[in-house]
Amino acid sequence: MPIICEGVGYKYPGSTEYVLRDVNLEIGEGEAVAIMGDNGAGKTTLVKHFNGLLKPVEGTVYVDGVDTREVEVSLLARKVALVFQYPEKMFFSESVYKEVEFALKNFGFEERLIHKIVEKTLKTFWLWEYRDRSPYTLSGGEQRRLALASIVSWDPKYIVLDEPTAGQDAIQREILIHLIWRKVREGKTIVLVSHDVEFIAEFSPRVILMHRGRILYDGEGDELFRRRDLLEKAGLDQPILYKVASSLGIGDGEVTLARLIDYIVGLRPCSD
Amino acid sequence: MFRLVDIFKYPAKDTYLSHIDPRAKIIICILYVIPVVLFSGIYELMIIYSLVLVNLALGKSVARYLRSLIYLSPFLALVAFLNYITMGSLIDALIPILRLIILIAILDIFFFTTDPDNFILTLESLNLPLSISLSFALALRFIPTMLTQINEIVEAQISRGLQLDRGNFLKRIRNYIPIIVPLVILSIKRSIEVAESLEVRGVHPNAPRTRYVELRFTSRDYIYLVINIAVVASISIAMYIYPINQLLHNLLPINF
Ligand SMILES: Nc1ncnc2c1ncn2[C@@H]1O[C@H](COP(=O)(O)OP(=O)(O)OP(=O)(O)O)[C@@H](O)[C@H]1O
Ligand SMILES: [Mg+2]
Repeated sequence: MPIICEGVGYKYPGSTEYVLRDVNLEIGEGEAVAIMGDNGAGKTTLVKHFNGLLKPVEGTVYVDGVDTREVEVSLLARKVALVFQYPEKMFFSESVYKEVEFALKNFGFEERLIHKIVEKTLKTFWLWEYRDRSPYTLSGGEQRRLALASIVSWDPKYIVLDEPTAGQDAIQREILIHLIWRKVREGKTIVLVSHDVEFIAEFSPRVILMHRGRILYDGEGDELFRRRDLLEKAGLDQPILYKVASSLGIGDGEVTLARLIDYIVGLRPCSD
Repeated sequence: MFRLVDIFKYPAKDTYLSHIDPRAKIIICILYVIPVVLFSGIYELMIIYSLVLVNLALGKSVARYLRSLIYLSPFLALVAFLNYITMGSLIDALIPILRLIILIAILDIFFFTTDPDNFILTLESLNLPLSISLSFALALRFIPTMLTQINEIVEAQISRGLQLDRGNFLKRIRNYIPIIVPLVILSIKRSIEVAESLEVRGVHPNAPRTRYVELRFTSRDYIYLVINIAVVASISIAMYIYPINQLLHNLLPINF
Protein backbone atom coordinates (compact mmCIF):
# COMPACT_ATOMS: atom_id res chain seq x y z
CA MET A 1 0.00 0.00 0.00
CA PRO A 2 1.14 3.52 -0.77
CA ILE A 3 1.71 6.90 0.82
CA ILE A 4 -1.07 9.21 -0.31
CA CYS A 5 -1.44 12.95 0.10
CA GLU A 6 -4.89 14.34 -0.56
CA GLY A 7 -5.23 18.10 -0.84
CA VAL A 8 -2.55 18.64 1.77
CA GLY A 9 -2.08 22.19 2.99
CA TYR A 10 0.24 23.20 5.79
CA LYS A 11 1.25 26.34 7.63
CA TYR A 12 3.60 26.43 10.58
CA PRO A 13 2.03 27.35 13.91
CA GLY A 14 2.09 31.09 14.47
CA SER A 15 2.50 31.79 10.77
CA THR A 16 -0.30 32.79 8.43
CA GLU A 17 1.31 31.75 5.17
CA TYR A 18 0.71 28.30 3.77
CA VAL A 19 4.00 26.58 2.90
CA LEU A 20 2.20 23.60 1.33
CA ARG A 21 -0.82 24.16 -0.86
CA ASP A 22 -3.15 21.55 -2.23
CA VAL A 23 -0.52 18.84 -2.55
CA ASN A 24 -1.83 15.65 -4.14
CA LEU A 25 0.41 12.68 -4.73
CA GLU A 26 0.71 8.98 -4.38
CA ILE A 27 3.93 7.09 -3.79
CA GLY A 28 3.50 3.42 -4.49
CA GLU A 29 5.27 0.49 -2.95
CA GLY A 30 8.74 -0.17 -4.36
CA GLU A 31 8.85 3.13 -6.18
CA ALA A 32 11.90 5.39 -6.32
CA VAL A 33 10.81 9.01 -6.31
CA ALA A 34 12.77 12.24 -6.22
CA ILE A 35 11.36 15.42 -4.78
CA MET A 36 13.10 18.46 -6.22
CA GLY A 37 12.66 22.19 -5.98
CA ASP A 38 14.27 25.44 -4.93
CA ASN A 39 15.17 26.47 -1.38
CA GLY A 40 12.04 27.02 0.65
CA ALA A 41 9.82 25.16 -1.83
CA GLY A 42 8.44 23.03 1.00
CA LYS A 43 10.20 19.73 0.35
CA THR A 44 11.31 19.12 3.92
CA THR A 45 7.94 20.22 5.21
CA LEU A 46 6.26 17.74 2.88
CA VAL A 47 8.38 14.74 3.83
CA LYS A 48 7.88 15.45 7.53
CA HIS A 49 4.24 14.63 6.84
CA PHE A 50 5.12 11.13 5.70
CA ASN A 51 6.04 9.89 9.17
CA GLY A 52 3.58 12.08 11.01
CA LEU A 53 6.06 14.56 12.49
CA LEU A 54 3.81 17.19 10.98
CA LYS A 55 0.08 16.74 10.58
CA PRO A 56 -1.64 18.44 7.65
CA VAL A 57 -3.62 21.58 8.43
CA GLU A 58 -5.78 20.85 5.39
CA GLY A 59 -6.36 17.57 3.61
CA THR A 60 -5.12 14.16 4.68
CA VAL A 61 -2.00 12.02 4.51
CA TYR A 62 -2.47 8.25 4.43
CA VAL A 63 0.36 5.82 5.06
CA ASP A 64 -0.66 2.30 4.17
CA GLY A 65 -4.27 3.35 4.40
CA VAL A 66 -3.93 4.93 7.84
CA ASP A 67 -4.58 8.61 8.43
CA THR A 68 -1.37 9.99 9.98
CA ARG A 69 -3.43 12.08 12.37
CA GLU A 70 -4.71 8.94 14.01
CA VAL A 71 -1.45 7.19 14.88
CA GLU A 72 1.58 8.04 16.95
CA VAL A 73 4.77 9.10 15.25
CA SER A 74 6.64 6.22 16.88
CA LEU A 75 4.44 3.72 15.07
CA LEU A 76 4.77 5.45 11.72
CA ALA A 77 8.51 5.95 12.16
CA ARG A 78 8.95 2.23 12.21
CA LYS A 79 7.51 2.07 8.71
CA VAL A 80 8.64 5.35 7.27
CA ALA A 81 12.27 6.16 8.02
CA LEU A 82 13.24 9.78 7.65
CA VAL A 83 16.86 10.87 7.29
CA PHE A 84 17.20 14.61 7.74
CA GLN A 85 19.54 17.05 6.11
CA TYR A 86 22.93 16.71 7.78
CA PRO A 87 21.86 13.74 9.92
CA GLU A 88 25.31 13.46 11.46
CA LYS A 89 24.39 16.41 13.68
CA MET A 90 22.17 14.06 15.65
CA PHE A 91 24.77 11.54 16.81
CA PHE A 92 24.96 11.16 20.55
CA SER A 93 26.29 7.67 21.32
CA GLU A 94 29.80 6.90 22.46
CA SER A 95 30.32 4.38 19.67
CA VAL A 96 29.30 3.72 16.10
CA TYR A 97 27.85 0.41 17.25
CA LYS A 98 25.59 2.05 19.83
CA GLU A 99 24.44 4.68 17.38
CA VAL A 100 22.92 1.95 15.21
CA GLU A 101 21.65 0.04 18.22
CA PHE A 102 19.68 3.06 19.42
CA ALA A 103 16.76 2.83 17.00
CA LEU A 104 16.58 -0.96 17.29
CA LYS A 105 16.20 -0.68 21.05
CA ASN A 106 13.59 2.01 20.67
CA PHE A 107 11.58 -0.20 18.37
CA GLY A 108 11.78 -3.07 20.84
CA PHE A 109 13.88 -5.56 18.90
CA GLU A 110 15.12 -8.59 20.83
CA GLU A 111 18.62 -8.34 22.32
CA ARG A 112 20.00 -11.30 20.38
CA LEU A 113 18.57 -10.06 17.14
CA ILE A 114 19.93 -6.58 17.74
CA HIS A 115 23.52 -7.73 17.68
CA LYS A 116 23.03 -9.60 14.43
CA ILE A 117 21.30 -6.70 12.75
CA VAL A 118 23.88 -4.15 13.85
CA GLU A 119 26.70 -6.32 12.59
CA LYS A 120 25.04 -6.93 9.25
CA THR A 121 24.13 -3.28 8.76
CA LEU A 122 27.57 -1.98 9.68
CA LYS A 123 29.16 -4.45 7.31
CA THR A 124 26.87 -3.44 4.49
CA PHE A 125 27.84 0.17 5.02
CA TRP A 126 31.57 -0.58 5.33
CA LEU A 127 31.61 0.64 8.90
CA TRP A 128 32.14 -2.56 10.85
CA GLU A 129 35.80 -1.82 11.53
CA TYR A 130 34.85 1.50 13.11
CA ARG A 131 32.28 0.00 15.45
CA ASP A 132 34.05 1.08 18.66
CA ARG A 133 34.99 4.56 17.50
CA SER A 134 33.06 7.64 18.50
CA PRO A 135 30.78 8.72 15.65
CA TYR A 136 32.24 12.19 15.84
CA THR A 137 35.71 10.94 14.93
CA LEU A 138 34.55 9.60 11.55
CA SER A 139 35.07 11.49 8.31
CA GLY A 140 32.14 13.36 6.81
CA GLY A 141 31.42 10.59 4.31
CA GLU A 142 31.59 7.87 6.93
CA GLN A 143 29.32 9.87 9.17
CA ARG A 144 26.74 10.19 6.42
CA ARG A 145 26.91 6.44 5.84
CA LEU A 146 26.47 5.83 9.54
CA ALA A 147 23.43 8.08 9.60
CA LEU A 148 21.98 6.08 6.76
CA ALA A 149 22.92 2.80 8.42
CA SER A 150 21.25 3.78 11.69
CA ILE A 151 18.04 4.33 9.73
CA VAL A 152 17.89 1.33 7.43
CA SER A 153 18.90 -1.03 10.26
CA TRP A 154 15.34 -1.64 11.36
CA ASP A 155 14.31 -2.41 7.82
CA PRO A 156 11.65 0.23 7.24
CA LYS A 157 9.39 -0.11 4.27
CA TYR A 158 9.75 3.50 3.16
CA ILE A 159 13.05 5.36 3.27
CA VAL A 160 12.94 9.11 2.91
CA LEU A 161 16.27 10.86 2.47
CA ASP A 162 16.49 14.65 2.72
CA GLU A 163 19.47 15.87 0.70
CA PRO A 164 21.57 12.72 1.12
CA THR A 165 24.40 14.07 -1.02
CA ALA A 166 24.73 17.53 0.53
CA GLY A 167 28.35 18.27 1.31
CA GLN A 168 29.65 14.95 -0.03
CA ASP A 169 32.44 14.43 -2.53
CA ALA A 170 32.09 12.49 -5.78
CA ILE A 171 33.26 9.17 -4.36
CA GLN A 172 30.91 9.35 -1.39
CA ARG A 173 28.13 10.26 -3.78
CA GLU A 174 28.82 7.13 -5.83
CA ILE A 175 28.81 5.05 -2.66
CA LEU A 176 25.53 6.57 -1.57
CA ILE A 177 24.00 5.93 -4.98
CA HIS A 178 25.15 2.34 -4.75
CA LEU A 179 23.66 1.87 -1.29
CA ILE A 180 20.40 3.51 -2.23
CA TRP A 181 20.06 1.47 -5.43
CA ARG A 182 20.54 -1.62 -3.37
CA LYS A 183 17.55 -0.68 -1.23
CA VAL A 184 15.49 -0.04 -4.34
CA ARG A 185 16.34 -3.50 -5.65
CA GLU A 186 15.32 -4.97 -2.31
CA GLY A 187 11.88 -3.57 -3.05
CA LYS A 188 11.99 -0.63 -0.63
CA THR A 189 10.22 2.58 -1.43
CA ILE A 190 12.75 5.38 -1.66
CA VAL A 191 11.98 9.08 -1.58
CA LEU A 192 14.92 11.35 -2.28
CA VAL A 193 14.81 15.06 -1.63
CA SER A 194 17.52 16.73 -3.64
CA HIS A 195 18.74 19.76 -5.53
CA ASP A 196 21.36 17.63 -7.16
CA VAL A 197 20.09 17.24 -10.75
CA GLU A 198 23.06 15.12 -11.81
CA PHE A 199 22.47 12.74 -8.95
CA ILE A 200 18.79 12.42 -9.72
CA ALA A 201 19.26 12.23 -13.50
CA GLU A 202 21.47 9.25 -12.92
CA PHE A 203 19.05 7.70 -10.61
CA SER A 204 15.38 8.30 -10.46
CA PRO A 205 12.65 7.47 -12.90
CA ARG A 206 10.03 9.67 -11.27
CA VAL A 207 10.45 13.28 -10.17
CA ILE A 208 8.08 15.50 -8.22
CA LEU A 209 8.97 19.13 -8.72
CA MET A 210 7.92 21.67 -6.11
CA HIS A 211 7.85 25.43 -6.05
CA ARG A 212 6.35 27.67 -3.37
CA GLY A 213 4.48 24.85 -1.70
CA ARG A 214 2.87 23.51 -4.85
CA ILE A 215 3.61 20.59 -7.10
CA LEU A 216 4.68 21.92 -10.51
CA TYR A 217 5.38 18.62 -12.13
CA ASP A 218 5.00 14.95 -11.28
CA GLY A 219 6.23 12.42 -13.77
CA GLU A 220 9.17 10.97 -15.64
CA GLY A 221 12.47 12.59 -14.74
CA ASP A 222 13.56 12.19 -18.34
CA GLU A 223 10.71 14.35 -19.56
CA LEU A 224 11.23 16.98 -16.87
CA PHE A 225 14.92 17.36 -17.63
CA ARG A 226 14.04 18.40 -21.18
CA ARG A 227 11.80 21.17 -19.93
CA ARG A 228 14.04 24.13 -19.23
CA ASP A 229 11.09 26.39 -18.36
CA LEU A 230 9.97 24.20 -15.46
CA LEU A 231 13.49 23.62 -14.20
CA GLU A 232 14.25 27.30 -14.28
CA LYS A 233 11.14 28.12 -12.33
CA ALA A 234 12.24 25.75 -9.59
CA GLY A 235 15.77 27.11 -9.58
CA LEU A 236 17.31 23.97 -11.05
CA ASP A 237 19.91 23.55 -13.71
CA GLN A 238 19.53 21.13 -16.61
CA PRO A 239 21.63 18.00 -16.15
CA ILE A 240 24.81 18.19 -18.17
CA LEU A 241 23.87 15.30 -20.47
CA TYR A 242 20.64 17.01 -21.46
CA LYS A 243 22.46 20.29 -22.03
CA VAL A 244 24.97 18.64 -24.30
CA ALA A 245 22.28 16.68 -26.14
CA SER A 246 20.17 19.75 -26.81
CA SER A 247 23.13 21.83 -27.96
CA LEU A 248 24.06 19.00 -30.32
CA GLY A 249 20.50 19.14 -31.57
CA ILE A 250 19.66 15.59 -30.56
CA GLY A 251 17.78 16.51 -27.37
CA ASP A 252 14.56 14.92 -28.63
CA GLY A 253 15.76 11.35 -28.57
CA GLU A 254 16.89 9.19 -25.72
CA VAL A 255 19.51 10.94 -23.58
CA THR A 256 22.16 8.60 -22.26
CA LEU A 257 25.88 8.91 -21.98
CA ALA A 258 26.35 5.98 -24.39
CA ARG A 259 24.19 7.55 -27.08
CA LEU A 260 25.95 10.90 -26.75
CA ILE A 261 29.33 9.25 -27.09
CA ASP A 262 28.18 7.31 -30.14
CA TYR A 263 26.89 10.48 -31.67
CA ILE A 264 30.00 12.51 -30.97
CA VAL A 265 32.28 9.74 -32.20
CA GLY A 266 30.15 9.52 -35.34
CA LEU A 267 30.56 13.27 -35.91
CA ARG A 268 34.31 13.09 -36.04
CA PRO A 269 35.73 10.96 -38.80
CA CYS A 270 38.38 8.60 -37.46
CA SER A 271 41.80 9.85 -38.48
CA ASP A 272 43.62 6.52 -38.55
CA MET B 1 7.56 23.30 24.55
CA PHE B 2 8.14 24.12 20.94
CA ARG B 3 5.92 27.15 20.98
CA LEU B 4 8.51 28.71 23.27
CA VAL B 5 10.14 29.79 20.03
CA ASP B 6 7.37 32.36 19.78
CA ILE B 7 8.47 34.19 22.86
CA PHE B 8 12.14 34.29 22.11
CA LYS B 9 11.95 35.13 18.47
CA TYR B 10 13.28 38.42 17.25
CA PRO B 11 11.70 41.58 18.58
CA ALA B 12 8.91 43.55 17.03
CA LYS B 13 10.02 45.84 14.25
CA ASP B 14 8.66 49.18 13.15
CA THR B 15 6.77 50.03 16.27
CA TYR B 16 7.02 53.28 18.12
CA LEU B 17 9.17 51.67 20.80
CA SER B 18 11.56 49.92 18.45
CA HIS B 19 12.79 53.32 17.33
CA ILE B 20 13.37 54.57 20.85
CA ASP B 21 16.96 54.59 22.05
CA PRO B 22 17.55 51.44 24.13
CA ARG B 23 19.07 53.53 26.90
CA ALA B 24 15.87 55.51 27.18
CA LYS B 25 14.01 52.24 27.51
CA ILE B 26 16.30 51.14 30.31
CA ILE B 27 15.58 54.38 32.14
CA ILE B 28 11.88 53.75 31.66
CA CYS B 29 12.22 50.23 33.03
CA ILE B 30 13.96 51.50 36.16
CA LEU B 31 11.40 54.26 36.44
CA TYR B 32 8.53 51.77 36.53
CA VAL B 33 10.21 49.37 38.92
CA ILE B 34 10.28 52.02 41.66
CA PRO B 35 6.51 52.38 42.19
CA VAL B 36 6.03 48.62 41.83
CA VAL B 37 8.34 48.12 44.78
CA LEU B 38 7.05 51.10 46.69
CA PHE B 39 3.31 50.49 46.57
CA SER B 40 1.61 47.40 47.81
CA GLY B 41 -2.08 48.10 47.35
CA ILE B 42 -3.78 46.13 44.65
CA TYR B 43 -5.37 49.20 43.06
CA GLU B 44 -2.15 51.14 43.10
CA LEU B 45 -0.35 48.29 41.43
CA MET B 46 -3.13 47.96 38.88
CA ILE B 47 -2.77 51.62 37.95
CA ILE B 48 0.97 51.20 37.45
CA TYR B 49 0.32 47.99 35.52
CA SER B 50 -1.99 49.73 33.08
CA LEU B 51 0.67 52.36 32.42
CA VAL B 52 3.20 49.62 31.74
CA LEU B 53 0.75 47.94 29.37
CA VAL B 54 0.28 51.20 27.50
CA ASN B 55 4.04 51.22 26.98
CA LEU B 56 4.02 47.62 25.79
CA ALA B 57 1.21 48.49 23.42
CA LEU B 58 3.44 51.18 21.91
CA GLY B 59 5.76 48.29 21.06
CA LYS B 60 2.85 46.15 19.77
CA SER B 61 3.95 43.44 22.17
CA VAL B 62 0.98 42.99 24.49
CA ALA B 63 -0.18 39.78 22.84
CA ARG B 64 3.26 38.31 23.00
CA TYR B 65 3.58 39.30 26.63
CA LEU B 66 0.27 37.62 27.46
CA ARG B 67 1.40 34.48 25.67
CA SER B 68 4.60 34.41 27.68
CA LEU B 69 2.50 34.62 30.84
CA ILE B 70 0.69 31.45 29.83
CA TYR B 71 3.98 29.59 29.89
CA LEU B 72 4.84 31.07 33.25
CA SER B 73 1.42 30.38 34.73
CA PRO B 74 2.37 27.06 36.41
CA PHE B 75 5.26 28.80 38.11
CA LEU B 76 3.11 31.76 39.10
CA ALA B 77 0.44 29.44 40.44
CA LEU B 78 3.02 27.65 42.54
CA VAL B 79 4.29 30.90 44.01
CA ALA B 80 0.73 32.01 44.74
CA PHE B 81 -0.03 28.71 46.40
CA LEU B 82 3.06 28.85 48.63
CA ASN B 83 2.25 32.44 49.56
CA TYR B 84 -1.28 31.47 50.37
CA ILE B 85 -0.11 28.71 52.70
CA THR B 86 2.28 30.99 54.53
CA MET B 87 0.11 34.09 54.65
CA GLY B 88 -3.33 32.62 54.79
CA SER B 89 -4.98 35.40 52.83
CA LEU B 90 -5.64 35.13 49.15
CA ILE B 91 -5.32 38.81 48.46
CA ASP B 92 -1.96 38.95 50.21
CA ALA B 93 -0.86 35.94 48.23
CA LEU B 94 -1.83 37.64 44.98
CA ILE B 95 0.06 40.89 45.53
CA PRO B 96 3.52 39.34 44.97
CA ILE B 97 2.21 37.61 41.87
CA LEU B 98 0.84 40.85 40.56
CA ARG B 99 4.21 42.48 41.20
CA LEU B 100 5.97 39.69 39.37
CA ILE B 101 3.63 39.96 36.39
CA ILE B 102 4.21 43.70 36.25
CA LEU B 103 7.97 43.28 36.49
CA ILE B 104 7.90 40.85 33.57
CA ALA B 105 5.90 43.37 31.56
CA ILE B 106 8.45 46.05 32.42
CA LEU B 107 11.34 43.89 31.24
CA ASP B 108 9.41 43.10 28.07
CA ILE B 109 9.17 46.80 27.26
CA PHE B 110 12.90 46.52 26.68
CA PHE B 111 13.37 42.98 25.42
CA PHE B 112 10.39 42.67 23.08
CA THR B 113 11.16 45.90 21.28
CA THR B 114 14.93 46.07 21.14
CA ASP B 115 16.95 44.59 18.33
CA PRO B 116 19.52 42.15 19.76
CA ASP B 117 22.15 44.00 17.74
CA ASN B 118 21.40 47.03 19.85
CA PHE B 119 21.82 45.20 23.13
CA ILE B 120 25.51 45.28 22.76
CA LEU B 121 25.56 49.00 22.02
CA THR B 122 23.40 49.56 25.05
CA LEU B 123 25.58 47.49 27.31
CA GLU B 124 28.71 49.15 26.05
CA SER B 125 27.25 52.58 26.57
CA LEU B 126 26.77 51.55 30.19
CA ASN B 127 30.55 51.10 30.24
CA LEU B 128 30.55 47.35 30.68
CA PRO B 129 33.65 45.63 29.33
CA LEU B 130 33.30 44.14 25.87
CA SER B 131 33.80 40.59 27.08
CA ILE B 132 30.70 40.85 29.27
CA SER B 133 28.52 42.86 26.93
CA LEU B 134 29.40 40.68 23.96
CA SER B 135 28.77 37.40 25.76
CA PHE B 136 25.46 38.67 26.97
CA ALA B 137 24.39 39.92 23.57
CA LEU B 138 25.45 36.69 21.88
CA ALA B 139 23.66 34.56 24.45
CA LEU B 140 20.43 36.42 23.79
CA ARG B 141 20.97 36.34 20.08
CA PHE B 142 21.32 32.57 20.05
CA ILE B 143 18.29 31.64 22.11
CA PRO B 144 15.98 31.48 19.06
CA THR B 145 18.59 29.56 17.08
CA MET B 146 18.97 27.10 19.89
CA LEU B 147 15.23 26.54 20.21
CA THR B 148 14.99 25.82 16.49
CA GLN B 149 17.86 23.43 16.91
CA ILE B 150 16.21 21.63 19.82
CA ASN B 151 13.17 21.18 17.65
CA GLU B 152 15.27 19.72 14.83
CA ILE B 153 17.03 17.30 17.14
CA VAL B 154 13.79 16.18 18.75
CA GLU B 155 12.27 15.53 15.34
CA ALA B 156 15.30 13.54 14.20
CA GLN B 157 15.40 11.37 17.32
CA ILE B 158 11.65 10.79 17.29
CA SER B 159 12.11 9.60 13.72
CA ARG B 160 14.57 7.07 15.12
CA GLY B 161 11.93 5.81 17.49
CA LEU B 162 12.68 7.86 20.58
CA GLN B 163 9.67 8.27 22.85
CA LEU B 164 10.18 11.00 25.38
CA ASP B 165 7.25 10.12 27.57
CA ARG B 166 8.05 6.47 27.98
CA GLY B 167 9.06 4.72 31.18
CA ASN B 168 9.24 5.67 34.83
CA PHE B 169 10.61 8.92 36.20
CA LEU B 170 14.31 8.02 35.90
CA LYS B 171 13.90 6.50 32.47
CA ARG B 172 12.16 9.66 31.33
CA ILE B 173 15.13 11.76 32.33
CA ARG B 174 17.43 9.39 30.47
CA ASN B 175 15.20 9.78 27.41
CA TYR B 176 16.55 13.29 27.06
CA ILE B 177 20.17 12.19 26.63
CA PRO B 178 19.84 11.77 22.82
CA ILE B 179 18.61 15.35 22.71
CA ILE B 180 20.96 17.01 25.14
CA VAL B 181 24.19 15.48 23.84
CA PRO B 182 23.82 16.68 20.23
CA LEU B 183 22.60 20.04 21.47
CA VAL B 184 25.68 20.54 23.63
CA ILE B 185 28.00 19.42 20.87
CA LEU B 186 26.34 21.70 18.34
CA SER B 187 26.47 24.62 20.76
CA ILE B 188 30.15 24.12 21.45
CA LYS B 189 30.86 23.88 17.74
CA ARG B 190 28.93 27.03 17.12
CA SER B 191 30.65 28.92 19.90
CA ILE B 192 34.00 28.01 18.40
CA GLU B 193 32.80 29.21 15.01
CA VAL B 194 31.55 32.46 16.47
CA ALA B 195 34.81 32.98 18.34
CA GLU B 196 36.79 32.38 15.19
CA SER B 197 34.72 34.70 13.09
CA LEU B 198 35.02 37.40 15.75
CA GLU B 199 38.75 36.96 15.74
CA VAL B 200 38.89 37.10 11.96
CA ARG B 201 37.09 40.41 12.11
CA GLY B 202 39.59 41.76 14.59
CA VAL B 203 37.44 41.84 17.71
CA HIS B 204 39.68 42.05 20.73
CA PRO B 205 38.39 42.65 24.25
CA ASN B 206 40.92 45.34 25.14
CA ALA B 207 41.49 46.99 21.82
CA PRO B 208 40.04 50.46 21.39
CA ARG B 209 36.98 50.34 19.19
CA THR B 210 35.16 52.82 17.09
CA ARG B 211 31.51 52.32 16.29
CA TYR B 212 29.72 52.28 13.04
CA VAL B 213 26.34 52.86 14.63
CA GLU B 214 26.27 55.39 17.41
CA LEU B 215 23.37 55.57 19.76
CA ARG B 216 22.06 59.09 19.91
CA PHE B 217 19.20 60.58 21.81
CA THR B 218 16.71 62.26 19.54
CA SER B 219 13.82 64.53 20.35
CA ARG B 220 11.56 61.50 20.08
CA ASP B 221 13.48 59.84 22.91
CA TYR B 222 13.29 62.94 25.06
CA ILE B 223 9.57 63.29 24.50
CA TYR B 224 9.02 59.65 25.35
CA LEU B 225 11.08 59.97 28.54
CA VAL B 226 9.58 63.24 29.72
CA ILE B 227 5.99 62.13 29.21
CA ASN B 228 6.57 58.85 30.99
CA ILE B 229 8.43 60.42 33.89
CA ALA B 230 5.82 63.10 34.28
CA VAL B 231 2.94 60.64 34.27
CA VAL B 232 4.56 58.11 36.58
CA ALA B 233 5.85 60.72 38.99
CA SER B 234 2.58 62.61 39.28
CA ILE B 235 0.51 59.47 39.67
CA SER B 236 2.92 58.05 42.22
CA ILE B 237 2.97 61.23 44.26
CA ALA B 238 -0.80 61.43 44.10
CA MET B 239 -1.10 57.85 45.27
CA TYR B 240 1.41 58.52 48.00
CA ILE B 241 -0.42 61.57 49.33
CA TYR B 242 -3.97 60.38 48.96
CA PRO B 243 -4.99 56.94 50.16
CA ILE B 244 -6.19 55.98 46.71
CA ASN B 245 -6.12 52.31 47.45
CA GLN B 246 -8.56 52.83 50.32
CA LEU B 247 -10.78 55.06 48.20
CA LEU B 248 -10.97 52.67 45.31
CA HIS B 249 -11.47 49.80 47.67
CA ASN B 250 -14.55 51.51 49.05
CA LEU B 251 -15.81 52.24 45.56
CA LEU B 252 -15.05 48.87 44.01
CA PRO B 253 -14.50 46.40 46.76
CA ILE B 254 -12.56 43.23 45.94
CA ASN B 255 -13.12 40.64 48.59
CA PHE B 256 -11.96 37.07 48.87
N1 LIG C 1 9.83 25.61 11.78
C1 LIG C 1 9.39 26.49 10.89
N2 LIG C 1 8.62 27.52 11.27
C2 LIG C 1 8.15 28.41 10.38
N3 LIG C 1 8.39 28.36 9.05
C3 LIG C 1 9.15 27.36 8.60
C4 LIG C 1 9.70 26.37 9.49
N4 LIG C 1 10.42 25.49 8.76
C5 LIG C 1 10.33 25.92 7.48
N5 LIG C 1 9.57 27.02 7.38
C6 LIG C 1 9.24 27.75 6.14
O1 LIG C 1 8.55 26.88 5.30
C7 LIG C 1 8.95 27.05 3.94
C8 LIG C 1 9.36 25.72 3.37
O2 LIG C 1 10.49 25.26 4.05
P1 LIG C 1 11.17 23.84 3.78
O3 LIG C 1 12.22 23.67 4.80
O4 LIG C 1 10.10 22.82 3.70
O5 LIG C 1 11.81 24.08 2.35
P2 LIG C 1 12.76 23.12 1.52
O6 LIG C 1 12.11 22.91 0.21
O7 LIG C 1 13.11 21.92 2.32
O8 LIG C 1 14.04 24.05 1.33
P3 LIG C 1 15.58 23.64 1.29
O9 LIG C 1 15.88 23.21 -0.09
O10 LIG C 1 16.27 24.95 1.62
O11 LIG C 1 15.82 22.60 2.33
C9 LIG C 1 10.06 28.08 3.96
O12 LIG C 1 9.52 29.29 3.54
C10 LIG C 1 10.49 28.14 5.39
O13 LIG C 1 10.89 29.44 5.73
MG1 LIG D 1 14.85 21.13 3.16
